[in-house]
Amino acid sequence: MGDDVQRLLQERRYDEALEAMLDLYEEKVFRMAVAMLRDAGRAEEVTQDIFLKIWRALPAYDGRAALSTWLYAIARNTCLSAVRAESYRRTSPLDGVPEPCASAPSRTVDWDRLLARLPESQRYAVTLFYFEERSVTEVAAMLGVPEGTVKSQLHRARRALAEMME
Amino acid sequence: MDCHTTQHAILESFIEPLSADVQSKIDAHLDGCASCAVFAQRQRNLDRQLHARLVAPALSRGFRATVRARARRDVRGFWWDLLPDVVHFASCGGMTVLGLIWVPVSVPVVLASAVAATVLTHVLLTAVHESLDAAQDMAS
Repeated sequence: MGDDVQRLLQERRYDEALEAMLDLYEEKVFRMAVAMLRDAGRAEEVTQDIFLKIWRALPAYDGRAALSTWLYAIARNTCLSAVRAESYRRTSPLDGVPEPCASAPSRTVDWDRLLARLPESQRYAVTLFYFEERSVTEVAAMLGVPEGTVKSQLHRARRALAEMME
Repeated sequence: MDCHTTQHAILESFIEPLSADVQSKIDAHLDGCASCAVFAQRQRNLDRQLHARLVAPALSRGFRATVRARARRDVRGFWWDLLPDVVHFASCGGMTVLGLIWVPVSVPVVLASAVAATVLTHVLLTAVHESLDAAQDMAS
């Protein structure tokens, strides 16, 4: 399929190339955005922005990097910009958080809060690992890091999460 | 196999299957090491819960249509989007000049009427433009 996109780009059939890229990558890019932004609605808007950027950049794609590498780099940078913009916009998260209640401890685990306590790189790795059905290769490609780095981030995240749950 | 190596292997086992040899060494270590057995149990629980919690989300049904619509608007470009307004204001300007030449009323009345007509038709034109865009988006 990646070769089909390359052929369409060589023939300057950009509309069809965009459609083929959406077929191949829209779900993966969306998952990356959800892992990084932790908000499915915002992640979908950012995913639209990513494909619009890709659409504009298609004529300049020279094929030196693999298509997936090029696309994931655009996706990652756009997501990181959105994460930074969100962090500027957000007010203190403690405003809406209720005080912990010692007399009635909850048995359910607040996964959003536990995952939020992990360093970003570990959170991205562990979230994408499960989204991508445990494919370290795919997670490494999406995050633009070696597979060994993903594995060590997963190990650290698992140890940290297990400690938090104790 | 010591505790550090065992725990590393346990963590690795959630990423890729271990060989039978390594698995048997882990099992042998766990039989005699309570802390590593607890570690293994906690990691199994954690894996089960993460697997249940972190389910890949799906895009909304309108996602593809929205991307296409935005790409289409992008192709038309800035000047294409401005063209109706440019034509509109040029026409209004032309009509105002003709009005000043031919209509036998005072200049302030002609200018006031021209401004009112320009604003009204601009509002109508914008409404029509937005309706057409919305209809196109729904059609795609």
